[in-house]
Amino acid sequence: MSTTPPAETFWPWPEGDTAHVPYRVFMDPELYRREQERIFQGPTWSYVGLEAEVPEEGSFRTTHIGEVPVILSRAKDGQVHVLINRCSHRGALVLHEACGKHKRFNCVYHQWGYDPDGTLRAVPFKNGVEGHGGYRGVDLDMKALSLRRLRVEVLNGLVFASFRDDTPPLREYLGGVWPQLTRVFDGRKLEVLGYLRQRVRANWKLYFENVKDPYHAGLLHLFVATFGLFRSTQRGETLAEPSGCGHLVSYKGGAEEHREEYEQQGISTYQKGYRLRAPELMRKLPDFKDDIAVSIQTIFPSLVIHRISNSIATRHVLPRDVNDFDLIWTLLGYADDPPALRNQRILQANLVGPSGYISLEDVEALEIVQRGIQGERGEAALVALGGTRVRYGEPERDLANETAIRGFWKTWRTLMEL
Amino acid sequence: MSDPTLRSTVEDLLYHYAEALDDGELERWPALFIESGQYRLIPRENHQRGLPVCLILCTSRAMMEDRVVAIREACVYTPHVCRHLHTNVRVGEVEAGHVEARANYAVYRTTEDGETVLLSVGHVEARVALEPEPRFERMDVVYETFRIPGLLVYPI
Repeated sequence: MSTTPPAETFWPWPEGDTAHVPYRVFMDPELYRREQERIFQGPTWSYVGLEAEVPEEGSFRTTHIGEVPVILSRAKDGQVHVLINRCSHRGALVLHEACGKHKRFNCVYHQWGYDPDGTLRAVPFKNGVEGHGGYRGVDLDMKALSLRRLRVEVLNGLVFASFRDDTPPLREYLGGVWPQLTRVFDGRKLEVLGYLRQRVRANWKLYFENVKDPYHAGLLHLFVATFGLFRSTQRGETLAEPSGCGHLVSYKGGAEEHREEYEQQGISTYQKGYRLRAPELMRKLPDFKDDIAVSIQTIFPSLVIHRISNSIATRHVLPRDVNDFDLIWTLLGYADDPPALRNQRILQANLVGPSGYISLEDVEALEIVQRGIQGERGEAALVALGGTRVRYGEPERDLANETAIRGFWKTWRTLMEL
Repeated sequence: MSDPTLRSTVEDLLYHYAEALDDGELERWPALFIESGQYRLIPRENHQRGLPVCLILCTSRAMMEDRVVAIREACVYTPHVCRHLHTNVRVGEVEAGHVEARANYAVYRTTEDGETVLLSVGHVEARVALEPEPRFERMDVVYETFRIPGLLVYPI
């Protein structure tokens, strides 16, 4: 019996084809396993949390880099560390709470105890009982049995870790993203206003595409289009760096500007008569000294940062499976915010997160892609908006292109050696 | 022991609330609050640690009406229905025409293919104004399922 091949197959992914992304990359468990090794444990910087979340000696948070459980902790000398959360004895999680504070991190299984910097300090019955058992005669190298400490860089309160020594320094890794990132993370003391979490039924890379995609922003999201936060016709830019990092920025245009193009094209997500009965939700209080409306930075492979009106947050992307990822939103303010601004940041959490007027649709879009590509046989997505070129380090100064998405995939292919 | 009549008054209000959200009459949801009423949908982890961010925060009935219009006109999501089960209702003492109430809830979500999932479990802490007719003055919904499966469209 003959089988019908698809009209055109993009898998194996043709060398040099920047205009297509084979759906296979979102579906294949083998590729997902390879990502763990080549990307999450590869020459990349993964976000693990905020310094503000581990304020004191012994403070910790548990999280993951890719699938690997890790601990973000603060040691006696004030340094933050990122440790693999796996007891050197038998592999149990050393800490199984989400966060807390302990002077010593004791594995519950056999009470091996570690300092918050990972140093192994205690091994019960090390010398046996009444001359029997224990590790007598065994070369127990306490130093080598300390928790594995990852390379760490802290940028104005954001903590990143890498498994590799050859990962470029963070500043270089961020490239042109650094100036925008340090506008938000400028060294001021941060206040965590709260967390929102969701489990998304889609491959994690669809999220990175989404936040590098200015095309959808003014089309999918009625709220941003209608209230002039983001329209394809607005002034803005996208940037891709060879590390996979990037940004997407839109500049303020009046809410009435450029609406003709939307009306002429009959774009359903722009609604002329849309008004709020409680317009205070969309009020933007003086905050940063620039004319940016929306600013999104992506720090590949695990972090997205947003500034949308007065809302500021980190979005932590954690792959759980080839078809699932967790998205953790940490909503932020500055410790010195005046009360009205702090309240506005809290109120504008309504715009983001799993019920956000803007961001609930992103998750919907990702999930319908994951559903739509089931049964694929080599077909591919088309990412040729604005041409087929890849540009690193030089921004595109319009919002009708997919250049940053193409850059992202080139990075992914390089890391994956595909 | 709480007054059974008072408790059934609060239960009726909660059941109307659930029906408005579950049976396609979302517009009736804000109407169950007084004009200056407040609605907060709070992840348990934030509630526990005293962090102010809510999943949904409406500081007035007008804001709830905006939420309803957005769900109807603006937001994009796969069609689904929700079903609330309220239980363990307890009421306090009446003070100046108001009563504090507490209840547990579970909400199931069913999509068009007939699949039902448990969307959310938690409890509500409400303050009810009894006159001229029972209305919520404040409704705090603390949800324990704080890793939301996908997205959450309808208020709980």
